[in-house]
Amino acid sequence: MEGLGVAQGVWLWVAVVGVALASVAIIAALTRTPPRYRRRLLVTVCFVAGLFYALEFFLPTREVVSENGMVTRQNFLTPFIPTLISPLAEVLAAFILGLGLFSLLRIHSGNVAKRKPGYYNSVALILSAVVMLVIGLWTNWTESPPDGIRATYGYLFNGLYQNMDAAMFSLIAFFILSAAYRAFRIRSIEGSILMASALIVLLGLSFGVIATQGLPATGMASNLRIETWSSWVLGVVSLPALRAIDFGVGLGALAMGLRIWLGIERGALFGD
Amino acid sequence: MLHADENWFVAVFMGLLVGLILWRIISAMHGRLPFIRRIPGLNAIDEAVGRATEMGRPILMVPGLSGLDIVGIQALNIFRHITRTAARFSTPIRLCVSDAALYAVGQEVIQEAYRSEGRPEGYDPDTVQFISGEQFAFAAGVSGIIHRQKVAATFLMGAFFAESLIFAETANTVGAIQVAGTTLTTQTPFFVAACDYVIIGDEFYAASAYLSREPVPTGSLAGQDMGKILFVVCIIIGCISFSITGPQYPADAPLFYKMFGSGGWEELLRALRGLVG
Amino acid sequence: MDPTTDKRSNILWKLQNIDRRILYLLLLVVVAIPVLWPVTMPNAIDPMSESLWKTVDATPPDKIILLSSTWSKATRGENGGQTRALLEHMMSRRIRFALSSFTAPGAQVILDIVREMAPRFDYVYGRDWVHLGFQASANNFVKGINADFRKTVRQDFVEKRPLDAFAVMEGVRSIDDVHMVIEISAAATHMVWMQFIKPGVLVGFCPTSVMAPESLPYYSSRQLAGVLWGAKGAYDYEQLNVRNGTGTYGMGRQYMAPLSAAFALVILSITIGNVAMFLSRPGIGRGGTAS
Repeated sequence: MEGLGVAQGVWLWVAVVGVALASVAIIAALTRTPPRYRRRLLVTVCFVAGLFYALEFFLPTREVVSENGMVTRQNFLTPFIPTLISPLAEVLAAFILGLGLFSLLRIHSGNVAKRKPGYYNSVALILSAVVMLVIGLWTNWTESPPDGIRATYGYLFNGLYQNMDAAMFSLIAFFILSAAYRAFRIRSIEGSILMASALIVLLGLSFGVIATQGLPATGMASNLRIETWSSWVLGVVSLPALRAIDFGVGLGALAMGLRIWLGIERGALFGD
Repeated sequence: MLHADENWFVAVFMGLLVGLILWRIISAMHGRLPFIRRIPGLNAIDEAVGRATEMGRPILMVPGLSGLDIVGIQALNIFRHITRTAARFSTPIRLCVSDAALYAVGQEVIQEAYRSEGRPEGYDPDTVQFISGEQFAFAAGVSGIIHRQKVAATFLMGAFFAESLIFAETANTVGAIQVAGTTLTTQTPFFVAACDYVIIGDEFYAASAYLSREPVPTGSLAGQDMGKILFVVCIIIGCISFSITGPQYPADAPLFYKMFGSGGWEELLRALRGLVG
Repeated sequence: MDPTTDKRSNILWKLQNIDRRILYLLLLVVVAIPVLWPVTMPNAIDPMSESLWKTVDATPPDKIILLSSTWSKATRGENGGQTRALLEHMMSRRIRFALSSFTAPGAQVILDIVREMAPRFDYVYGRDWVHLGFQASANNFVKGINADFRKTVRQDFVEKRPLDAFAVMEGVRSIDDVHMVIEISAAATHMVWMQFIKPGVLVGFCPTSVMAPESLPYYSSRQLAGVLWGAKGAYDYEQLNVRNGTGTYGMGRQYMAPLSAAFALVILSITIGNVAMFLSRPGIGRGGTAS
């Protein structure tokens, strides 16, 4: 971090272990805090964090010229975003990822230990996670990892993981077909309008252009081209509805954010 | 958008919206509760839980790819209500998340829901599962749970992307009753095609008020509606102004541009001074 | 009941309730045929694609383009074609660029593509392009680079060196020195840029078809400089590249025929289901009227 210096060598490890121990101590202390005080602490932290961004947004700014000659508008809080908030968020994200991995291993090792039905799936998951973790760390730990490790990483990440990911995504095409076949039945006027719009857009985005490609691209006759119809459905009929929904969603998010920030929201985050 | 003084219009507009929401919250706290219309998707929660209870099969709740953000927290609000209903009937539940932070909060929420129904022993830590942070690994994991456990009801609430239809169609194959809601307009059509009930747009945020009927969320909902009226007024002003200024905006309408474009406070004051003379 | 009517009703019922496995098999066959025997489909270029092409083409020599890759190989069919078409255009015009990603796989997939294409255009790492890597906190990354690249990104992704070590970053201090940001994504990550980027910076968006409608309001309000709509957008961009001598045909054209075939099957299946439903209504085909 700028101004704080960067630990090197042994001190880096001392810093890592020290921070890890301190974090464990903080987490343990928080876990033992009675729920009533924990909630107060949560509300306070939430308010202070929200206040930072609110003040950063509303406080007047002035032009600041950096040593590189760059001119930006800043107030006294702005420099903390890249130097403090960003690294803090990254550290938190890393911590939380560890928590997720712990949950995954706890549930699946439990499945194996209790020989629950399908426990062999859990064995496969744990093995995959451990192998990927070891190979991934080994590959990225050193400047030039052994060829065998690099090749294994390539095989696992590019050859296996990425293609399995692609296979899952490709399932959507099959599901779209079965869902469309089942759902698009003309049972009402609204259903007919919905289906007509869907057909126009589908045709306009694909082979439908063949039917009207003989028509001129400009002038009155261009209005009869299927892609013009498709653009009209998307841009004139569908777009205002999308905007209206987005306005509502944005307002909902603003209201909820406000309630959380001020600590007046109950329910999931702050309890009853 | 960086700072308020770089675009005064956004700052003032946001201030107005916040003011309206807070005003209606305070009004509601003083007993002026607004009427909330019926939302079929939220009414279906009891039906779905009842069906799962009859069948003796679990209820699956998925917040999509939501993290610990506004959408994720609202999803947990809804899941908390579902869990409390399920706890009353001892119906098993599953909550699958793709974000580790949401997993941590989700565990707390579900445990607290069981406790508040007087059934702390009904909580099993394994009911809340972190599956994977990767989109399609998560989709594969959840689909596997749907198939293996033959869930009776699914609640898909949160931020969904391309994986939405994988969940909805997989649950359809096992005959689950499905209630879905997302703030993302792109996924709503998929849910409409594959699910029994769909919560559209800001109905997702209205759920807190609808389910709890407490003054704060109910008042907030009324404030949101007033905000929508403000949006409509702005749209009408925009339409009229644009019709007057014509297609050469902003060249033909420097004052209008300074007011509603990306100008700062100083530019606005300068423009107003020029107008007054 | 008349046996003929019974049989007909049975067929109509079957046509309304085709087993999903048959539909899946049909889709597999219909998509596989144009993949194995490629067919060139006609295409009408979308104005959104053209707008993006023109904005990229207008990059001044002293500015760079920031290419954000938030996709994995799962959406290679759409985002892969878009990425290649964009890179061909940029490399043939000798536009310098920086890469970044909001996901770990996204950082790797685009790196692989650029490494594969770079020798063909004599693009050298550090001189013509640099990789800023995976950014765990998207919001803070965007807010950070609004003010300063070097304070936000301490080192590059490939050589793990400070950004000052690379000639491509010379004169690039903040987002002001970036001509445009292009988000290639399988999700609605354009919202991060919409919300937090400094006003006035051009943003292009290349989503998958599933996510594309989400971007329409922002293109219409000119907050997005252009949009490539899934595989069709990639084909549009390739056509524009070929027309202007800045690239060749690739994945976009290759995938347009399977896409069209799949759409045709969707339309056909919907039609069959509806016709069967209509014919099986009481009165139809028995001298009565539809109700």
